[in-house]
Amino acid sequence: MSKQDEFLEGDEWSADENAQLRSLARERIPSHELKGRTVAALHSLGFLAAPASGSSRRMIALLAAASMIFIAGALVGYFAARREPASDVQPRMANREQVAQAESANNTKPVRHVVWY
Amino acid sequence: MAHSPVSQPSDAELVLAIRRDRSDAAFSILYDRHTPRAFQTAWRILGGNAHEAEDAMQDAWIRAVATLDRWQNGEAFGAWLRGITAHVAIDLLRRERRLTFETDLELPATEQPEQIDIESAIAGLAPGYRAVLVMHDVEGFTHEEIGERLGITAGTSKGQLFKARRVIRARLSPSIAERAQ
Repeated sequence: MSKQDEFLEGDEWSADENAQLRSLARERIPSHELKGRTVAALHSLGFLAAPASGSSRRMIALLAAASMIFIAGALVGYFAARREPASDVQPRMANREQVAQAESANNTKPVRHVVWY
Repeated sequence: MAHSPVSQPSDAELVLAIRRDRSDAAFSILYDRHTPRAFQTAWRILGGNAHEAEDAMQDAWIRAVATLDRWQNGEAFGAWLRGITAHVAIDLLRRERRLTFETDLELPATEQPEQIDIESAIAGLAPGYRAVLVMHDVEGFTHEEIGERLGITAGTSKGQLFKARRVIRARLSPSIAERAQ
């Protein structure tokens, strides 16, 4: 260490001066806008993932709602098509049998053919 | 990020989330946690100019996020960010040709002792003196680290600190003498 270094480093703060230095504020709050500007700059430089814009968010919400309505409609249609109430089967069967009997009754009725010579 | 709902994510977890996912939320937490301390450093080096300090702070965050891979997990993130912030603030002074280093050991002729607090005394220093004093006496950098950041030798840094302390002492002496009475 040179004499000049010793001279310079011998000039330390007194206890009172040190106390004043220690009393200095350690933190300072910047303006609220700084965070927004910093985040925007990081987005534009690609260091942070770009947030979805307001219009694209609306578009995503609309697409999701439309998809749900479509799926709900499809499901309702599917189950409605499959549903066949049990009480409704018998009358139909009965109707079919009646029709069949009626037809067979018609078929057993003798048919008279007249042949002219 | 694996942590309980009560505990806050560590700096390392936040840095990982930013690097891996470019996570907005992780950056927001890291920003809120470390900006006030680093902003104070920039504000003090720049002589209390809040507008310039905000510009420096924004630039420091951009540089920090761009070079997150250089941050070592064992190093305190806040200290690492403050180092970058100090560097950016000094660059700002240098760009505007305000950063000059005197070679003599005389007090600047314009310095007149007056009764002020230490914050005002620091703010009133010439930028070169102020940068060295803030970095050494407030932020705890070594003369070698200061020399690297300012592009000067460690000896020049010591000389600047010596002169800065003399100016501060001269300005504070009336108030110190008053309190001693």
